[in-house]
Amino acid sequence: MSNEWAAIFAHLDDLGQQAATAAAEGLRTGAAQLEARAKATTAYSDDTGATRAGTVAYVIGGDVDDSAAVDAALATVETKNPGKGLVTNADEGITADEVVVILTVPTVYEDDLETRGGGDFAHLAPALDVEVANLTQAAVAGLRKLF
Amino acid sequence: MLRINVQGLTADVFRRLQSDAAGAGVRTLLGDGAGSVIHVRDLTRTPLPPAPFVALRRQSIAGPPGGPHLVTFVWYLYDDVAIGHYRINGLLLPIAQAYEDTPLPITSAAISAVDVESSGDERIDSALQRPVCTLTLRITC
Repeated sequence: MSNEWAAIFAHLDDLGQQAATAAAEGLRTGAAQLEARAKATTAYSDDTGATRAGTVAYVIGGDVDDSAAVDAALATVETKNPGKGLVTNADEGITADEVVVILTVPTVYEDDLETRGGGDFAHLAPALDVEVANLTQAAVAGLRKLF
Repeated sequence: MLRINVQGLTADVFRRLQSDAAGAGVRTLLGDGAGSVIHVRDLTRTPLPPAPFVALRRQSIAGPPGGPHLVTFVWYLYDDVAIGHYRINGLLLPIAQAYEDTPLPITSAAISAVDVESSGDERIDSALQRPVCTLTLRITC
């Protein structure tokens, strides 16, 4: 490969990384809105406050890694409902090419809340379905700052 | 202003498995055919239909005034504890095909896309103490 081609490919790689970072930075706005919607639910009673306070949406992609947010959410859960926190693996398997928004609650009973009674207490999936278009717009807004 | 008849669309989605010809293959796999197709609000009734049975929830409606709208439905698929998940896992593909292979009627909404998705998660519904898995329909109108 000539030096010229190598330079072109290096530039494209760099551009891809910049685009991923720009989209991820844009998605931070969408993630905040998603988290707010998921927290605003009345689908469950939230006896301890752990679920609502522990609901978190965060972004990973490009040079952005907001995964510390889930650690903070886990600490909050443990404060409000000791022994019920769960170390999640939601961000496992994300590749360097991906930009993702993760919405989760790091409790041992979150899966049950989403399922029980045919989804009577579900709050993550409904919030995501309502916010998915806004997330797309947020990513595009981030990309527009780059191009 | 909402340009879709949500109740009508919900009825169309429900009818696909309960009585439409396109859902006939699914009904043969259920405990009591059409009798095993219910809404989630009926999960509190006693007795529940013979298993396996399916229950429909209209989960959410998203989109700006004037559309387009994304209407999300979730089918909850249940079986008996002694059976486990294998029969309801076997229902996922036939249910998906019932929606993918034959378009829904356009009486209640101008449908531009139907996306069917299952996470494949095998869970226990702790309220019913039954194995459950889900299939999500996202309908763009």
